[in-house]
Amino acid sequence: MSAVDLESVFTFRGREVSIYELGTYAVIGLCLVLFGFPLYWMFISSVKPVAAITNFPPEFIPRDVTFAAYDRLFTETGYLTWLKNSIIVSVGDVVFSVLLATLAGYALTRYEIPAKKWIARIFIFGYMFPILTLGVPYYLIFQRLGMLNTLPALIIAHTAVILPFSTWIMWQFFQTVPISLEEASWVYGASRIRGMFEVALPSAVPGIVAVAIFAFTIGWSDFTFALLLLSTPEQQVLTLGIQGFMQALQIYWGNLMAASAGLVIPPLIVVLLLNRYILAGFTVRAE
Amino acid sequence: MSLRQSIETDFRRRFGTNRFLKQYDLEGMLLIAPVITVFILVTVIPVAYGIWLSLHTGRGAAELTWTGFSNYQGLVESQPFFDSIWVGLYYAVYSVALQVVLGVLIALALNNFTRFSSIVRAIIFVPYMIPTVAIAVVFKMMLNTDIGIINWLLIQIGLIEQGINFLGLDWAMHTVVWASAWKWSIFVVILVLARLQSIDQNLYEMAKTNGASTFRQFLDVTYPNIKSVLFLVILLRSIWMFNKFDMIWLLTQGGPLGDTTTMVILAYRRGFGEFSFGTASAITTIMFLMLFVFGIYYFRTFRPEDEVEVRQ
Repeated sequence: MSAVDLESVFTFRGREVSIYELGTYAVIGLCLVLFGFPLYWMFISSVKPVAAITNFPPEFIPRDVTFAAYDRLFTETGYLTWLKNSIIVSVGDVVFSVLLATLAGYALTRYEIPAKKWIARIFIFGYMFPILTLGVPYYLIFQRLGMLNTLPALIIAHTAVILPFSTWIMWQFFQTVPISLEEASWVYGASRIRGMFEVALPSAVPGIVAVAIFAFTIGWSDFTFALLLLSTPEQQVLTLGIQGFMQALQIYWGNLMAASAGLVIPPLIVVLLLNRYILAGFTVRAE
Repeated sequence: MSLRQSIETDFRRRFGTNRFLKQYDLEGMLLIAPVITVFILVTVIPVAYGIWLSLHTGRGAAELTWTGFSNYQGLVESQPFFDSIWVGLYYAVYSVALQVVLGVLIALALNNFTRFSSIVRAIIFVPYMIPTVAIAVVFKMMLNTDIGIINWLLIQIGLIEQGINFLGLDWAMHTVVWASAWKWSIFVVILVLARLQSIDQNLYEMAKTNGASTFRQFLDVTYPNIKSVLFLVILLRSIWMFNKFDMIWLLTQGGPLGDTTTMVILAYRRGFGEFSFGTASAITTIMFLMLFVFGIYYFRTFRPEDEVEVRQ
């Protein structure tokens, strides 16, 4: 038994509240502050004038708002190039993994394939690989192939991380799509391929979106592989470029916060618009 | 016995399987072939090449010479290597413990908090989805000794008189662990919350009518139900935290004085700081073997093939 009875009730603003309920509100409130404040601080620091950033006492609500930091990023640094590269890599990751994982997921649930048990185990195992176990050999392999400092090399490296789990998601999703629907379409004369595209695929859309979000998140956020494989400035991606700002002798916090805000906004939009698909991908993993 | 049956029996006797390759199976193999090929190219071959590399010495792909196990011998005889194992384990255990405690606490609160649940749930995804680089950069600013808001707050409250160097000696490991928890506790929250919501509410009603306190209900109803997912979460997070590179590198680069140099950081330094790729590969190969042992244990308790209903 607990020392304090969590059910003990006392009155708060004319309403009866238990300690358990109070604890719930305390945790939620604390979470909102602890998780929200760093992001809020990033965004307002990115729109403060340079002098106001290091002022004490700090301005919790900026007195003057300026977009000068963003302007400096776009005109004086390689930010736009890095942004373009990040977009190319993320889109490449998404297209590549959605295509391969969908085919595999369909095949694994619709056909007799030998050693399915081992495919399942090896893919789940592949999802847990230490990134440097792959990264060191990649560096030397791409050096040999003359592919260091190229975006395709980065996409290939990301695929190693994305593909096993994407296949896993699609495998589980296609299982929830009853095969009887396809069989019905064959009875009506549809071919196997047509049955796949017009019956099975539309029902698996939530899985495909979950895979796309997963692939995008890895591609957009990855720092380690970019650090290993890209070094020339014009081939860098956003995460790497931002880290470069931190290595400088003089750190320009305003620029750094503006650059990070640009990095955070796309995933933020994904979360707000597509959160139910993310949960779908996660529940697959959890069950 | 029909002809077909006899062929199948014969096949089974020869290949020890009752699977009979039919025409549509070939179609299935064609569909899955791209994934298997890519997996072999991007994962199996590099891992094998990495193991091969660990038996060589040289500064680039073109100038490798065979050295047998001398890279491993060198590691076993060097203090930094053992330090890095210890630091890596410390970071992983501390991180996972913190993330599980915070994650379960937040999941319980969210499960009990029904207002605006969909928007609240969307918001909790945010830390998990945003890039580690952005998190590291913001924490570096907020924890800065001179201009950081956290030091300013602590001074205002009167807890300290001078700014603390949160990335310096004594503090760096704690900072890295808590910054990691800021992001990865959410992984625990999401999985545990999903399981909490699937618990039959009648069980709580029954416990209540039998006079169980809230704490007792947690022990007798909640805990048994989330036990399996907790195990899965602890295992996965342990593996991932032990292998974590980006958060540590971005915040401390393994410093100060090697305080946060985990095995991964050491491998990176050996490989890309000193260009001794053989030593780096030896370290990552050892990590791979450790993962392998973990993986066997993992598959004993969690069978991925059951999740996808593989027909035996």
